[in-house]
Amino acid sequence: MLRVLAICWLVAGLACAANAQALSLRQDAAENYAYIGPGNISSDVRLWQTGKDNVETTVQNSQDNSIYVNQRATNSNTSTITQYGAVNTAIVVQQYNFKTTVGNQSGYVGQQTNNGYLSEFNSGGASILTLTGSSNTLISSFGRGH
Amino acid sequence: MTRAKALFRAIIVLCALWPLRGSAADLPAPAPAPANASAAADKNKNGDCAAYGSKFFALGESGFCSKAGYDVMGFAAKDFAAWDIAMVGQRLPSANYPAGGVPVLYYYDKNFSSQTYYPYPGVDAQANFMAVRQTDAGALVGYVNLRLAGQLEFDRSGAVTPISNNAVNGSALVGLVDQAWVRLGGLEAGIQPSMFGFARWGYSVTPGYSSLVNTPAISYTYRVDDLGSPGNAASVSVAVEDPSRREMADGVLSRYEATRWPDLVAQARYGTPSFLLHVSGALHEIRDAAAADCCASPVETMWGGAATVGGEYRVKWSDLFGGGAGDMYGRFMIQGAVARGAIGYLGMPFFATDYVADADGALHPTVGYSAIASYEHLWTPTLKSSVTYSIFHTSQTSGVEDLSPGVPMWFDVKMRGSQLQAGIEDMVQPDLTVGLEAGYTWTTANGAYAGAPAAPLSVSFPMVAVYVRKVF
Repeated sequence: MLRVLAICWLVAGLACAANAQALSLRQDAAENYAYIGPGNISSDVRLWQTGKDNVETTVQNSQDNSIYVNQRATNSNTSTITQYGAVNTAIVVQQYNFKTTVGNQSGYVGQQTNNGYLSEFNSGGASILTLTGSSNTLISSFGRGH
Repeated sequence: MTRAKALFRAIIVLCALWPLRGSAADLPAPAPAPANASAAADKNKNGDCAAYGSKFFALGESGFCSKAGYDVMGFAAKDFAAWDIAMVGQRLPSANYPAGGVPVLYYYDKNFSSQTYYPYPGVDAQANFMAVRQTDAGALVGYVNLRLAGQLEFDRSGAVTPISNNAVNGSALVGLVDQAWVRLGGLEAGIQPSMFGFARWGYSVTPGYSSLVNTPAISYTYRVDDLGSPGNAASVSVAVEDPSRREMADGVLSRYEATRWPDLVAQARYGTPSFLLHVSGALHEIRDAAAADCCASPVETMWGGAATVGGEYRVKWSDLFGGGAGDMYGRFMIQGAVARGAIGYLGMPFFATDYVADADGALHPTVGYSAIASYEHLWTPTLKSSVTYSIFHTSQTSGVEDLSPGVPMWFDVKMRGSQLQAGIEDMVQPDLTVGLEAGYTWTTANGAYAGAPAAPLSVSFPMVAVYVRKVF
């Protein structure tokens, strides 16, 4: 019953979140860190974290803010959500002692989305994900020339 | 005398010349400065400029002898790097620095196949002018070398992009002035080869992992000839050099303040007709602006540094192995360099910044080393081949900072690489050479984030190039 209510709340909240299309993000390394802080961009983010330790921090400053966090950890889950806006929706689902195999993906993707600038880094046991706005996106790229 | 012997003798003479550095502008051995400078000027007028070399001529009635020349190298190359390691620097927003403050460095496998799908042509053209006159204070020498080096990149989509290979801080125009300096006695000012670099980056046409940089500088060299026996010489040099040409900063993890001290560089060399030993060191001021940019932290300063040791040995094979070796000659060089907070002195690709600035302004200098060994063999008077192997390693870290209370973050990324190059070159006509060079590159990145080990990433790829060079 509780799960049904949560889903209904989520659907209702997401319907209110203006403009932004929902952005679904997944992390499955042993150590997962995510920062959702798109500044004054209306954002609708759904984040799934599966690993040994999951950390998630959300700071949403726009008029319409929506965040859904699902954390499944063998060790620890940490979620901190701060929302400033007229319409705010936040759901956090946390499960501990969740037995799972962690992923071993490697790679980096940096791209602009409707919900802000998305930076995803995965390598071995570490996954770092950020969703940032124009005022807090500080990223450089460099390497060997070809 | 065979051409090989003449070439070998010329190499030995160039090796022993003032100021014991591998500058293209090294003068042929001039006569010792006479006590009366005006008399020397008169000699120049009277056609004694040949004492400096066959291509020197009197520059009117000025008393200067001068020489002009140019050379052009055209090449075609294929880079087989479909994938290579790329780096991303980021400042993560945190509870204390919501605008982005905690530094982190990522590495990943990036697809370059679009840029490297087609072979590419290129050119490296240089034109130079030198003027010299004897004075009471020693030889007065002026030298200018203009260089245009670049290539065309044919993107897989059909786009053609010109790329400068000698741009300085992104400016091809600034890079056009390769050297421009004036020397009086031991004092030299202008854009000149850095005193840190050894004679060359290996005998291969494409560079190995060794630093050779021309930079605005003021230098002084004190030289002693015939040290111990005729033909031996030693020199000691000090210089203040433009630090910006050595900067390895990405603008996010590290960014240099515009105003700071020049790099202080010292060099000592000892040479015999067949051997050259080089030792040099540099101090490089780090004055960070990145922490102030992101986090309004105070500007912090520290000193980085670098040091290098190199040696070059030239041999006539018959001296070692008897007459059966014929007229074959060879030369071998080896060099090693270490750096802390001055990665630009290692001559490696841009895989690491000089330092990382924490959000609170604390600076973490990157440490690393590079080394190179190279051998060139002269098979016949016109045919030679070379093989070069070089390596580098860096370790780059940040300090521990909380992303949120109780959630610390830091990174530790290590890069290592090696490169093997082999080439063959034939002088098909006097002053006209053709060559083929192939290389293979290996690179590995390994890191950890907040103590969690990331996956190592390794790439490797070959390259090949053919070239034609004409000297005028």
